[in-house]
Amino acid sequence: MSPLTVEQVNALAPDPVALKAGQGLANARHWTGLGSSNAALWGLCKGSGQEPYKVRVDLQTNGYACTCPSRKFPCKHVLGLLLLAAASPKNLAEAVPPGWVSDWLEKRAARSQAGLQRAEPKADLQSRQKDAARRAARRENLAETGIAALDRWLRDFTRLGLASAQAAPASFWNDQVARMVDCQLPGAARMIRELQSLPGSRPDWAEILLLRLGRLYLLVQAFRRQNELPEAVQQEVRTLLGWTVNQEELVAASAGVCDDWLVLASLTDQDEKTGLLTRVSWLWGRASKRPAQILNFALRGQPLDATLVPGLALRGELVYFPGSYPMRAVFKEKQAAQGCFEPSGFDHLTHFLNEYAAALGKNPWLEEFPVVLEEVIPHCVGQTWLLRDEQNRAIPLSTQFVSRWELLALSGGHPLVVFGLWDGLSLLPMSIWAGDRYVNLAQVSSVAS
Amino acid sequence: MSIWRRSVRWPRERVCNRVNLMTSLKSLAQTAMLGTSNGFTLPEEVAHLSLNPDLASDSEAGLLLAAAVIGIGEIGGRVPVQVEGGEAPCPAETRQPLSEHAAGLLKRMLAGEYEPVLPEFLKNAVEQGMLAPPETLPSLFGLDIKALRPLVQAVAGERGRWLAAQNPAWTDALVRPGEETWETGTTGQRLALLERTRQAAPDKARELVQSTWQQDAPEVRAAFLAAMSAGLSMEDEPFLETCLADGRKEVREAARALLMRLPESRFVARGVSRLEPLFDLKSRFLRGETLEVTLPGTPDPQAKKDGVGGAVLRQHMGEKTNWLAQMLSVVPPSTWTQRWNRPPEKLLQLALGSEWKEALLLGWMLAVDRCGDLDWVDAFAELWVRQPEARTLIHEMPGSLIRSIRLEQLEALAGASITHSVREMDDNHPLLDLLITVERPWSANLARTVMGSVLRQASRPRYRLVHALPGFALRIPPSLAGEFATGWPEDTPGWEPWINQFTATLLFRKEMLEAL
Repeated sequence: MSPLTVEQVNALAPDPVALKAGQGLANARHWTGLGSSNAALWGLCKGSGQEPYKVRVDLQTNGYACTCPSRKFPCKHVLGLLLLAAASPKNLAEAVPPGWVSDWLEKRAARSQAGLQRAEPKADLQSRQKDAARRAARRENLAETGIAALDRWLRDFTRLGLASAQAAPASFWNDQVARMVDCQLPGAARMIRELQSLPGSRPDWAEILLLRLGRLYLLVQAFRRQNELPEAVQQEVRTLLGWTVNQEELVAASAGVCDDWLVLASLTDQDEKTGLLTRVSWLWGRASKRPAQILNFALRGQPLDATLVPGLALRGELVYFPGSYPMRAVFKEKQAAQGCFEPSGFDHLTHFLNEYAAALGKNPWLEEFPVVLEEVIPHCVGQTWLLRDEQNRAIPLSTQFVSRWELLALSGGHPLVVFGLWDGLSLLPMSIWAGDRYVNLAQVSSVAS
Repeated sequence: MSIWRRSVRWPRERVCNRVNLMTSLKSLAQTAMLGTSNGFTLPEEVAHLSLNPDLASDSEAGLLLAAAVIGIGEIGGRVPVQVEGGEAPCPAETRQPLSEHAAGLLKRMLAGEYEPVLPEFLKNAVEQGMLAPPETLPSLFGLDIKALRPLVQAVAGERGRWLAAQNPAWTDALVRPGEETWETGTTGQRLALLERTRQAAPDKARELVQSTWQQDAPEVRAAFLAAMSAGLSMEDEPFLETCLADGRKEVREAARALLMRLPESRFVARGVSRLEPLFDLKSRFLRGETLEVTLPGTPDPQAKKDGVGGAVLRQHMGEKTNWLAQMLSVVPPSTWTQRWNRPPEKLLQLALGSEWKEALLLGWMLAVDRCGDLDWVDAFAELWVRQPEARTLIHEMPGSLIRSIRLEQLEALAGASITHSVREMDDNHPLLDLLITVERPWSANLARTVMGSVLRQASRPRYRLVHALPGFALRIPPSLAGEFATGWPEDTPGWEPWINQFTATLLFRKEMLEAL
């Protein structure tokens, strides 16, 4: 049977329109030939065409296919089938997959095998290596130009005074962002873009802006003196500025961490201009007791990797990207989601802050620190919301966090396990465990609003 | 955030050096706000913190790097604050939580999907003694629908009481008000207190209302009178009689509506004595019975107090016929059934034979609506469905009257007025008006009769019928969902979205009841 709940299917939808249409199709009267097996769900959905659409879902690798012409993925028919299976599984009786389903499953299996065995063509390997070296050298030159421009911009800004930022035209930020993009420093571009909304946004904005500018300047200095830095810090600096590590090479070259990985939470963000979907998932290793961050990208209308379901654990081998405090990772191999467990984290807020300080010591540019706090209780003093431990020591919650009352309700004054992101000032809770329940706070807040 | 104690430490590998500095990120930010065009010298205590010595004389670089070093030291140096112990934790629940499946359905309704099913869900969840999951409580409390409050309160359990006590916006609605709120509380709290007191001790509730009667605003006074409808008795009569002289129309109307339900009241006696001389039921051999009506004269001051002679009910009726209708509208209709010993159906037929039929029907209908006399309600329903002439005269029945029609009567009317292919329940069928307004659950028989006709008409152009389908889906017994989810014609232009909504809602209700 489908392991996906209605909430999980909702999370798969490419946009609200498709979801709404899918909900309308989650009704047995639209379907014929419904069936399911351990491996798949399938059904024929009556559409506007002559022939009904053939809708298939591969339960083992979370793949789906439909014969409709829609360019959305998953389309409304797939969503409808998943919702129907989640809401009333009785409609999909256990059966032997018909030919059009089993053929598709075989093809998928064969393709994933082929993917693993894809061999590097050796013929012009040498010339390609030469090309790559030339490109890399050119990029280094460009980066130096970019770093010099960033240095100048930071100094000019400081000389002029941060107060000028409140009245600065958009071009003040945008021109600099564009310059960074031109110099192939997308990381620096992102950091500048994120500064733009800061002036005037909160009482202590000047301090936060200055700290971020200071960190950017530290990056400028670190890049210029990268040869004096340890290898891991060099990697960190280059990743921050926007050099990417080839995932395939990384996975092939490094040994991973084998563990049961619990998906703590995930956050999906869509770029308004390009339509690029980015999903950040945070994982927790049962034995390694380490957090990991997995990034998934998808172009408009393409599916995101659906194997990481918040609240569920999966067994797999994870390779961390190099860095001074490794966090981002990629799966070398993974098995289908199975079961769940309660993550172990910090039992003392002091221990957590000590660990955060240690992490900052390794990576002074650390922006958000994923943390699991055990035995904490939401606490409200006037308008200020905090999390306290049983010794009544407390840390503040982010003012961006909207599901405060839901969090308080979930606790009822009793301790909870909370997963959240710490930005150095406050915590943004993402999910909780209360007794044997897992609750994703992102979904709760969508309900409330 | 001022709640932090400030201390700076530089974490290096596992060793933390704690230092106390005069310079803070805040003091640096003050400098940075103004800019460094007038020069800036790095404080000595910061300069020696392993910064690049080349930068010592460089104002901008010095400030930026000092900000990085001090700022990172500060955020890394934060320690938790000590707070006072919070609220006592919530006591353990005595009831069972909803199943994961049922909780999922609840969340979908709170998110807006199948929202109209929510009251039915809550009612059933409360009957089964189930509790809503804690994370849904803020949304449930936010519903702010008065009729749902007792259900929300029950389904929220101990956790709900605990949570509501901490948010003033919810405390009002959900926490039981104490007696002291009568003097100090909001209108909502006072109404809740009045309703509760009225159930246990009706006299005490009336005394509460009287204790502040002079100070309360007119709309509050009217609302209090309406709340006294429960537990009404002759004990209330003297007070209500005084309310007939109130300066505000809505208060007088509320008092009249209550007094009408007290047959021994002076108000009813006056109403009957005003009408008695105007009626004469005559029985003639072979010609049957007729109701002779004399139109009334100008109402006296007491009659005006009692609600006769105010604004006209219908513009096209004459002055006297308006008075007649108003007089009838303040006398309990059971008076006439007892007096003449005829059932309501018979009296309505006699009214139709009278010259003043419109006034008679209108006056009686308003009286029936106020008194909620079920035999008369059913008689009006029958008249509406069966007699086109009466429909024209009645024009429109009040919703509250339609909502109290007995289920058996609806069933009987449906059975008699819907016939296969001769008289289907189409857009103009008078029963449709009633079925759209009735909110109670239907019987299986009624559902089969109505839906049989709907299915036979599917694909024909219908407007009102099609739009009524989503409402029908809330009243049909969910056990019949399978029966009405299939059997629709293949091609139903114009009907498709409504049929979908109908079957989806019905199936959702079935799923919901099975999940509870």
